[in-house]
Amino acid sequence: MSDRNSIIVGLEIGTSKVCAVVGEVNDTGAVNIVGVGQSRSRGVRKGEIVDASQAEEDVRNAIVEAEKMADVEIRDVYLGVTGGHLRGLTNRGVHPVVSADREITEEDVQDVIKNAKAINLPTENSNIHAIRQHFTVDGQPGVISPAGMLGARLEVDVHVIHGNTNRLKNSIRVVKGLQLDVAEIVFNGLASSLALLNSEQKELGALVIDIGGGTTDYAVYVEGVIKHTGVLAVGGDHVTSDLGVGLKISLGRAEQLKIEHGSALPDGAGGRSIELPGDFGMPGRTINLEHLCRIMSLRMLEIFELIEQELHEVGLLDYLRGGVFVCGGGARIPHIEKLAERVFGVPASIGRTNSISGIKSALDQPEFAAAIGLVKFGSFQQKKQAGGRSILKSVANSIFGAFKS
Amino acid sequence: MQNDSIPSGPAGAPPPVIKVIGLGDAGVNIVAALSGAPPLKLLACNTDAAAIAQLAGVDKVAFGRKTTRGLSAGGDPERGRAAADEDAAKFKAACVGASLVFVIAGLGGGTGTGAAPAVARAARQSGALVLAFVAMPFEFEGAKRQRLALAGLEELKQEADAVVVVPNERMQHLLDSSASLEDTFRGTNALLADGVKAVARLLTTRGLINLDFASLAAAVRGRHAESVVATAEISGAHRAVAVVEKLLQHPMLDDGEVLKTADWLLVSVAGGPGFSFGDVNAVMRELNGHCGKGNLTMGAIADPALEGRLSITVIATERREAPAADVESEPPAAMGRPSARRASLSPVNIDTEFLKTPEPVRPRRGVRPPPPDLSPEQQQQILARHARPGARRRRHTDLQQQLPLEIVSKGRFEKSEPTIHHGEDLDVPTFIRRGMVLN
Repeated sequence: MSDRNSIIVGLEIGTSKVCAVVGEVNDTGAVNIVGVGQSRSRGVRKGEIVDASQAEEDVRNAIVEAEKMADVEIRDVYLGVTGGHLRGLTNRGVHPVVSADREITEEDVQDVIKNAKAINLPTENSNIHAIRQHFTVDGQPGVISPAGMLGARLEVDVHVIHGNTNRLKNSIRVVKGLQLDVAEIVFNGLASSLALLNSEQKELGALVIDIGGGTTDYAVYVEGVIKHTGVLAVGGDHVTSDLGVGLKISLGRAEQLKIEHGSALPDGAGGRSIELPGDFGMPGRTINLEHLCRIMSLRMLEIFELIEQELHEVGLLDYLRGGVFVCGGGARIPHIEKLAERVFGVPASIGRTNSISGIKSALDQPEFAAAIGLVKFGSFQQKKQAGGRSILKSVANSIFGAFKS
Repeated sequence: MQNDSIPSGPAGAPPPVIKVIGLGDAGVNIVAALSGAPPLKLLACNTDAAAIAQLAGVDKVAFGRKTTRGLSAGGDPERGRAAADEDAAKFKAACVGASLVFVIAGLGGGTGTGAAPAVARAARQSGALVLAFVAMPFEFEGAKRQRLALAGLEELKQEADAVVVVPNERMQHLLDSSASLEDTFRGTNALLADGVKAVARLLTTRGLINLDFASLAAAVRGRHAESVVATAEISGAHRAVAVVEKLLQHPMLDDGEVLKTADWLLVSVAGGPGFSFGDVNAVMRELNGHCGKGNLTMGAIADPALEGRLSITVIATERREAPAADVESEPPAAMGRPSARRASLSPVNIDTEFLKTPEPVRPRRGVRPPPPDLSPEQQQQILARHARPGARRRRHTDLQQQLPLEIVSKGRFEKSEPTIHHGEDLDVPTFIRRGMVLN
């Protein structure tokens, strides 16, 4: 704790809650979660800040709580970002190997990555990540490290996540307004996948779906690399809103009913009803539980179907052999994994942050996956920057490839 | 058929009883087309008591009187299901003693989609094998019906032992614009009915090379499987070659294209007493030339009833990867449109809506992006532009967009940036866009 570098903080400004997680990197490079702070979020809609002063206050509360719990002073954070404006796309870069002996040098590798990153973004957008996938040498795919190999034509795929610059800057400004530095911004879906998946699952191919309050973020790993990411600006708030509209109840009651009686599958709810007590001059009501569950089920089904459709279009649906992992507040919905299993046709489960040690109460909650993933991301970045002797560095590099900060 | 066509079966075995239950308007029409095939016990069932009363010559049941009050299910599968659940005992009683029950329905409407799984369950509980034979709606009937049909199909696959899925879209080239609609639909119903008859014979007759229920189930199984049943019969000298040629002309086979692309083919060849090994050999050699690399299973039946004739039945199954893509290829703007929804939710005769008139095509023509897409400034601009003289007709159409009818509740997202995904506003509750009825 004495070394400032060994403390890594992940901050997620979510639609329903702001969450700060403090992690400590020990000598062996393992991350230990030592503090968690959270606060209800009031200035965010659909993952984007709409009320900066309110959001600033919420972030302050969460940071203060985390500082107290971990007994550290937080100076910089890894900030999670999301929102409907984020896009993931995969671009291919090509580079001819010009040297006489056709040996691929480290420079060739850097050049081809540079070519792949050079994509035409809309002027108002900027890159968040550019993640290297596998190389192709003379048409031979799946090359992991081409330096030293022989070939005439080197290609590489890079997955680029980009978003609207101003909107990204909005959340950075909120953090900077609290005299905190933003070490790096990270896509929430990517962070969640880091927290949940072990290397075996990444190798097998897995889909991580983070169902938050305002957005649903997802990331697909195939053969150890990120193949696709995406954001749907639809989340738990939509479920609440649907229930409010469908059952004609206030949003507060809808939220409460969602948490207490919600289910992702309408099975078994037939004919049952819930008595709502009357208060504040509102008369009591009887709510049909089946309607409640079916409204919820349709919304969750739609979210999964939209993701399934997207993955089908990019041709990744058949590679999810490791299964589907659900996290975020949406993972609290009973039977959500069964619904996911029906839609994707592969085993689905609630994601657990297994690969990190620390406070059990924090690790067991699917809501914290993104913030914990941010800490993990930070630990990888620090190892990279430290120029590291440890073997973990090479592992981290092979997993994430080149990140652009 | 079952009395005289089990030559190799044990003498004491009772003949299998086959029951055919047609559900909904489409199912009833197909059952009506089947009447006159004595070994099949037919039962026509509909929620619409008035429609079924006109039917003559088959046993009929109007079910769900309490739920629908003798009217149709109004395109709502939930009502269809409730109606079938109400009279589940009736269905169970009807299936007692049957060894095989065909459940025939057109999916996408109310009665067929909702009741078919319930009826299949009832039949299975009474101890029969259940083979469902369902027609998927035409594409022009709209995305909503396609979606309902797919949902119903999923459910049906849980309940029935096997499901043969016949996409109506395949029959599109039958729909010659010059022929009268009545004739065309009689034709398509007859084709489906032929399919049912052929499958019934295949299953009840103990063949020389036998095909049983298990092989049929293996052929039609699959999450996104679609099947085509085609049959041809011919007599004469070069019948082995001629029968294949006739089969290839079958409208459902799309000039033999279907055979090439099919993943699983079930072929049954049947002949009269003089049916020889040479005949089978010739037929199969001829047919193999037209088939792709799909898995082919064949059977041969000697049926004394087929004196001097040769009959061939093919069940070709294609396992498509994602039918959802087809559904979504509809112009997505049409999905949430109240006008489109109104057309398909109209309470009269929803099941045969497409049989009677191609009405649902119409709303698509007038599709416009929904008004919430316009920012207030843009709306002001448009209004200002059309307030000028000389733009009266356009103004009229633009003003139409402002009708409160078109605006659906978005709850707390009223004032936030809309989430438009493939033209669909995801902020509008899913249950409203998908037309779920809360009763």
